[in-house]
Amino acid sequence: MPFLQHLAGEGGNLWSLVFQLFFIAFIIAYFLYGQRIQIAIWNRDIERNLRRLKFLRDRARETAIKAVKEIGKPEEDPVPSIDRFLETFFIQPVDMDPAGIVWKLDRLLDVRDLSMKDAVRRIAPKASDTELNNLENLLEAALDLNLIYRIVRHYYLMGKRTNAYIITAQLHMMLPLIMDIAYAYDGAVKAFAEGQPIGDGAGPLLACKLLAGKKVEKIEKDMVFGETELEGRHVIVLKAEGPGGNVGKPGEAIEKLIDTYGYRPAIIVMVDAAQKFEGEDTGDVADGVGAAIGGIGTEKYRIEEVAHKHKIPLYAVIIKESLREAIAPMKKEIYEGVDKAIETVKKIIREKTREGDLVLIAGIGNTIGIAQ
Amino acid sequence: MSVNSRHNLGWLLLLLLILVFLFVLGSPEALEKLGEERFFSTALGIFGLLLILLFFLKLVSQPSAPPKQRILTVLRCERCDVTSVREFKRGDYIPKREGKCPSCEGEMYIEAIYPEELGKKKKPLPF
Ligand SMILES: [Zn+2]
Repeated sequence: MPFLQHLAGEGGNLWSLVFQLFFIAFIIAYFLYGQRIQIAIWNRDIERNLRRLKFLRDRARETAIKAVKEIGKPEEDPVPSIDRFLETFFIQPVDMDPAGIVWKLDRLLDVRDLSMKDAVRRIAPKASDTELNNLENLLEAALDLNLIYRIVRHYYLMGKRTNAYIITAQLHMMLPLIMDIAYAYDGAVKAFAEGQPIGDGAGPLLACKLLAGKKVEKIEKDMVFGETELEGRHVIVLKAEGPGGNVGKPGEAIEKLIDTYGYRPAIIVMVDAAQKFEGEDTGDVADGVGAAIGGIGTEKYRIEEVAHKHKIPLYAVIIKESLREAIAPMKKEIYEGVDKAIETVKKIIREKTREGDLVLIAGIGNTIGIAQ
Repeated sequence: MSVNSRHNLGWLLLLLLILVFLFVLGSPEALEKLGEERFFSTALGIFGLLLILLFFLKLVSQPSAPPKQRILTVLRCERCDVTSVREFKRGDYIPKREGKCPSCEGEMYIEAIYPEELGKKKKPLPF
């Protein structure tokens, strides 16, 4: 083969010829199909994560089924009802004309909450109220994992079917963040199944510590309050009713304390776990002004309304943690953060009120594993 | 655990490659041949290809799951500061009362429930 011999160069052998051909073919292929190769690699990456998401979802479902069977002792097979629960959805009210939307949303959320509780009670008839709340939290976490899985699969298949590279590219770039959230929910599933306190419980834990040994009274749906003394001031402490998984309705409770019970606090201090920035330490405490409460916004609206109506200043103390830490079992640093937050609350009370004043302290968050 | 073992596997492969390389170098014929440029570049090429394969495998390998953590329940005496730690049981909550203090007969209550800390403190950020 003189020609090939020539191609391979002086003294060249077949091997170096093969290598060269391979190299040239690679360059041409990359030049022509580089983008497709890139997309194929991304798709493979998405597929791998999808399998992971499916695994997490199935595991959450299995955990839920096991917990329901163990705790709820249903007479009939709960699996079809659980599967139906995992597909339920919520439709936001229209916001083209936003006046009055808060009350609509509030009402819808109430209905959703009631129907979910109802569904869980039917699935697990023998569960106590505490266990019922925990099971509901658990099923909601499984529902969220199911939703994440379905959404990622939807965009993956859509990108593949329509060859819309931008969808695949966006999905691939968002994937690390999505997986982070999915792993967070995966951590939450176990905490909810066992009834362990989660990071979001920092606010209720502070309330629990302030109320140690005091009598508490039920107010509003899933909320309790008690009275105590702090730094010579009379203090009302509010939290969701534990130890079942609950966030309660702190907005309605504060409204009722002020409007119906006639309390006139000099200040309201809200304590909540808040999302830290990357690089900040978990359990750090900061304070500021405003209503420290997350969620969809209806409770925040109520609190701001009532504070505005009666001209009560709102102060906020936050305990910093990541989203992942907020729904995972509460870390030691957060317990230390709660002790620091108590000191901060005391300082605010000393600075902003006089002795003998009335102060309202609200511990906001999910009170799973924390009673009163 | 598995993070480390995967990490070590990569280094082990690299070490193996270097060993094979050295072994080839060690044989007399190979040393003789090394003078020939072609043999040297072929060997270098194969070495490079294996290196690329190694990096690719590292890239493709899945991130491993975090290690399993035990959940601990901390009990504290109401009167003195005696604390005791045990593993979490279903039904535990803060501040559930449970049992008597071993030293002063006071009541014990659950003060905290948290995941066991597995050593390794994070390095402080340089900025
Ligand atoms: Zn004692």
